[in-house]
Amino acid sequence: MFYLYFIQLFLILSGQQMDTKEPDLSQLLPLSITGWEKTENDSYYNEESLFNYINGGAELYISYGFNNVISRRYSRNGNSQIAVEIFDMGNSINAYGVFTHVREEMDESYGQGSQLYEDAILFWKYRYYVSVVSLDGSEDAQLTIKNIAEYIDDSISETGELPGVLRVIPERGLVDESVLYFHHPAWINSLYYISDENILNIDNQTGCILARYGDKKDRSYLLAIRYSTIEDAKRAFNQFYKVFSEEKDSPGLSLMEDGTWIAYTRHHRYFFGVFHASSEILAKDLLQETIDRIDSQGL
Amino acid sequence: MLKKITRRSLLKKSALATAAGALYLNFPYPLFGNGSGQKTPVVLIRDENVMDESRKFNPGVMKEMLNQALIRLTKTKNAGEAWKKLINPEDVVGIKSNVWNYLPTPKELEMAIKEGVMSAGVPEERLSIRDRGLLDDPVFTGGTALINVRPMRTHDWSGVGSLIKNYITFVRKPSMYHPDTCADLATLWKLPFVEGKTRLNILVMMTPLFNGVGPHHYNKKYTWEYKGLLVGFDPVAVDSVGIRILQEKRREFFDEDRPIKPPVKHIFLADTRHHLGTADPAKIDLIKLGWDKDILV
Repeated sequence: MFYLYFIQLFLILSGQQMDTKEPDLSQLLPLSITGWEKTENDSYYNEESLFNYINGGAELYISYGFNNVISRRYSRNGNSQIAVEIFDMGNSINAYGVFTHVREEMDESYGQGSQLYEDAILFWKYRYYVSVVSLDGSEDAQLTIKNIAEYIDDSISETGELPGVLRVIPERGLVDESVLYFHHPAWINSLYYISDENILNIDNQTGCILARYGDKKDRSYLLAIRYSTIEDAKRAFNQFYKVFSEEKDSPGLSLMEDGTWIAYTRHHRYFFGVFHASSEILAKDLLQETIDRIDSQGL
Repeated sequence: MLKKITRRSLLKKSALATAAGALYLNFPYPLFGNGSGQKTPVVLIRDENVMDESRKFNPGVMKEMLNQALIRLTKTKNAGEAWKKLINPEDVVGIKSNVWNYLPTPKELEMAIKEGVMSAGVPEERLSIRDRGLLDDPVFTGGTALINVRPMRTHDWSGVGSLIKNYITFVRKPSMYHPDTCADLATLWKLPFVEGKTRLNILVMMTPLFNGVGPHHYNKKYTWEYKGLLVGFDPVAVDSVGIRILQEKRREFFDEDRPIKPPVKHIFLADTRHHLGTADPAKIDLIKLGWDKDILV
């Protein structure tokens, strides 16, 4: 008993949640709403069967520890259709991570963060990532997706923690909506090409952030990775150094042929890289700010 | 004073070797070798009248676009000659289409291809158009010729849905090809039902999807009316041009570099690892026909 307690305490402190209950996802959805009725039997997919539903797109969710999903359709008078999916991502950190792939602007109309389109609402809350989409684009359906999203938001009573690694990234110059959280090497090049190989040993024990800084004309990118141990961070740094340095006397700094700078360092169990900085000073300053945040917060 | 590090040198340390550079965003420098061999032809044809405001296709314009592209590609004088250069009357022809809900291969284009194949002397019972169930269709399992046709779109795992990827339904378990973000999709082209049979590749660029969101990976906001077809013999070359157009559209739309995510490894590796064709823009002879407004490439 005490053993389990300590595991749970460790996971909470490390920014993860141990959610062992298997919730009934259908309880989060209305049977009918403003004249729209559930049309057919719900479909459920797990890691094995998700490919049958969204083919190769399933890998995105699996890369975030996907647990299962419910898919439900609503119809009005047998014509217009609305598709709803609730993905149970196992914990809030994974739900947040999947959501960061679609975020184009900061919005909290629904859940703990939402992305709104004319005919679609995507949001995350607690351990869930939710998609509500009008399939025919009718005005009625566009109104109803808001009602459904609101219903689901209200049905999820809990909220979830954000990844701990988020606390290390500086706010100054940050493009908030660009923050991408991940723990699978497939997403390392999402903002800027870094490597085709997993030179930083990213896996589900690491927490990674990519983010844009500055304005479009003076863009730089920050990569922050938290490892389980300092030794892991050292190994990753050394591998990165072998690839990114051509000068033995200049560890942690590279001038690219397009005139931009790359700066990188390890601090405690963190690796940080700044890419495409317009000056050496800018690159170093962003790194230093990141280190200062770790030290000041005792992370 | 620091020595400048080059993107080329970084890539040489990576698994892709010299493959990826010119097609990855954030890589402003051409990294492919300067081969002196003959260039691979790819025809880009566009017509602003191929669809109306509601995106309904005009079958006549669609057929004419395809035929004009083929005439140029095969260096013939008319469509009849072009089709006969591609297809023999004895052929059994599978037209490998794509049925993805949001962006399927247009029926009007499928019909134009079917008419072309039949004009070369193939009777209807010896051709088949389909995406799913290929392994249960004797035209695809025992055929002599394939025509590969699909729209280009972004994809959550392989980067894009490409011509190379379109043969994934020749296998019963597509997830076998998922490792390393579908890096080795080109090996599909070595399957017994596929190898050496493809006579023509058509990448549909009518309303391409340049960014995907959510589990359905589709929002009309991220499509545009490009009204084009890319046609060629080399699927890698055609896909390579298609990616460049998508990337340019992303740059225009987002007003900055936004790499396709994840990077489209499978097209680069189809060139350098699997030698299926060329992805190198310097080795592609891009022939542009028709409407050239906002052509992006």
